[in-house]
Amino acid sequence: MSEEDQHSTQPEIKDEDANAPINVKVVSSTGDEVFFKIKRSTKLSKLQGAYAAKVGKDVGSIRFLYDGSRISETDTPASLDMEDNDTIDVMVEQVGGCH
Amino acid sequence: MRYMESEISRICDGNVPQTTEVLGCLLSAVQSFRTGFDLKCLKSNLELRYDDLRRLGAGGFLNDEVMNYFLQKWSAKSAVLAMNTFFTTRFLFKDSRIHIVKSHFDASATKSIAGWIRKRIETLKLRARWRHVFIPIHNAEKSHWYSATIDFVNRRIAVWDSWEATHSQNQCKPLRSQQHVPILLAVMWVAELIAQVRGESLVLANNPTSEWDFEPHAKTNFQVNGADCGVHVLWHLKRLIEADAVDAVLGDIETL
Repeated sequence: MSEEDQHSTQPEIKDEDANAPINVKVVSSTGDEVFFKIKRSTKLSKLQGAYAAKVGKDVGSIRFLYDGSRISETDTPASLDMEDNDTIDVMVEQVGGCH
Repeated sequence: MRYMESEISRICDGNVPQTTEVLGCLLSAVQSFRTGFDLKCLKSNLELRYDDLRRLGAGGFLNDEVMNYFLQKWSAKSAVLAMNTFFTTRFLFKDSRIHIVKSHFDASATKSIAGWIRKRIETLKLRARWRHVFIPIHNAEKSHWYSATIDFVNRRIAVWDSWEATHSQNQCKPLRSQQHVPILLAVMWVAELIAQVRGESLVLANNPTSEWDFEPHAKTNFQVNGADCGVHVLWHLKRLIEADAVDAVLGDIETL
């Protein structure tokens, strides 16, 4: 299949099954990557819980960002307009006062 | 709700020394019947929880939640594009735990940064002719907050640090070895990227004719204790929004 064909068929696949699972890459602030496959209608809070359990951290001590914005409890890949292979950044809590 | 606010003010005004205690009791009471409560802002995903609010007491270190709440709340619909506290940690430093500025930036970072900036401008609903960029900076090694600003009208990039020793120790050093020069250089690069988003062309790297001013250790108010740098950074933002420059009036720090 030529590259052009692929381009023309991709949107159709999306329309056929808007709820097809997408791959999401979760990247920590130290560069470690964990991959998830989730449905577009699944709440990302599920992914957050699964990630926290996997890396052994309290979900309240880490922040999940998509395009720099915090992901809320009710967000889903569909509500954030996420695409296949998109990245979610995980940041750790920051505290500052000085010495 | 308004009645409740005035009632709380009345109680606190009547017992000033016990204010912390009164508000603490109130927060505990709220905590006891709900696990968390949201202070929604701009219908966004910002929320402060009980644990975050406890940090607002005297001597408390501010965390990213409190900082990001005010950064977004205050800069919304203003002329200041205030980035969140994760911007520099994510893009400008080598590692979130070590405070060393990256010396070069790859193409994928450039693309991601542009995405963050566009999203932030959209979220904040900035005025059409916004002029400043406010960048909070977190030093994870020293648990310290400071900030950098880009002024597109007065053509000025400055780094603001409320820790007096850092300011005084760097005054007599040659520019090249001043502490905040690496972050200043990174912010110059960010300014070039943001200029592109604004539809302007800006070259600052290796360009002695740019007519921009750069201050790696700009003079500002200093913190009088070992806890308030987060409050100072928020105060830098407030000055920028209200007076168009962090150092517009170098008066006493106002109570937030």
